[in-house]
Amino acid sequence: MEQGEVRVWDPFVRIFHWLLVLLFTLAYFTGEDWLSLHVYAGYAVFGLILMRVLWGVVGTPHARFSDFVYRPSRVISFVKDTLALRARRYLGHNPAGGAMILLMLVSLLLVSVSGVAVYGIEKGAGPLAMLGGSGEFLEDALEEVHEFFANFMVLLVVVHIAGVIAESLIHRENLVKAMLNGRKRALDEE
Amino acid sequence: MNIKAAIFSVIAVVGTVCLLWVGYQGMDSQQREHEEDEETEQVGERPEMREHDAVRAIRQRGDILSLDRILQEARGQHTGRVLESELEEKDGRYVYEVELVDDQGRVREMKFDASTGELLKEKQGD
Repeated sequence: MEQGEVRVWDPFVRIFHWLLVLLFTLAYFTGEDWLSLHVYAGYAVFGLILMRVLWGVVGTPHARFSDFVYRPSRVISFVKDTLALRARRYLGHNPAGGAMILLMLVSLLLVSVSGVAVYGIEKGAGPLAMLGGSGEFLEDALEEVHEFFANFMVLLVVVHIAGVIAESLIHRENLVKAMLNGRKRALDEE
Repeated sequence: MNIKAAIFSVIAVVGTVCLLWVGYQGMDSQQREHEEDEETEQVGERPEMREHDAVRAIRQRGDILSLDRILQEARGQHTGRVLESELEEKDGRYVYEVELVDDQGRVREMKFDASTGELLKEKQGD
């Protein structure tokens, strides 16, 4: 560890992050033609989300919801500060990053649950196989939900990456590297 | 290192690897199922038929109509260029899925009952 650096992201937070990148990309580009791989990538996403939610309660300090969930007003003022290039530096997730985590967790839950439901209805397979043949209307509606939130996730990913680049530039640090090795420069003494 | 974080990490990695492995293995059986699919993907008015053996077997049992018949049906609904057609088994019955771009450039997806040729469902894609 370099001088003045502190451990911020525990191994599970980092592994979760990069596994999710891998699985979402895989699931996004495999669809009906590679259904088996698509479905199992989705199961893995669902499992990881559940683990992350649990970790948000019992995990290390910066992994906990209590550390990164801020009031909406704080999130908005933080985004404004970022746009004005004078955002405060946070050691853990900043308010916008925290809001992004919540949005992604919810979106991914909706994508995976609706996906499993569509799989159950259309193919009569998977954990929700009992939904099999429960009607075209439900199937269509859930398919729309599945596709909408999958595409919404892509939008969130783009905004997330833009945010990471912006914060990295403002505070002259490499946040991608921090998500790899878990370390960040300690907060300046003020 | 935090022991809890280590346990969570190991479960995450092992779980993901196992699930992807199972999913990948499932591709083989799906591939076999796919052999039953009749897929045509090409430009041109009349999609070239690539009847796989399995499809032919189902055809010969007389359970389903030919793709040609279904495509005629589809063209009766919309004029346009057929993009893709597929035979799928769903809840024990066979369904033809036909995708075409109509003259306005809209993609339309139609599902036909493979045994009767009845239009089951149509939706406009993007």
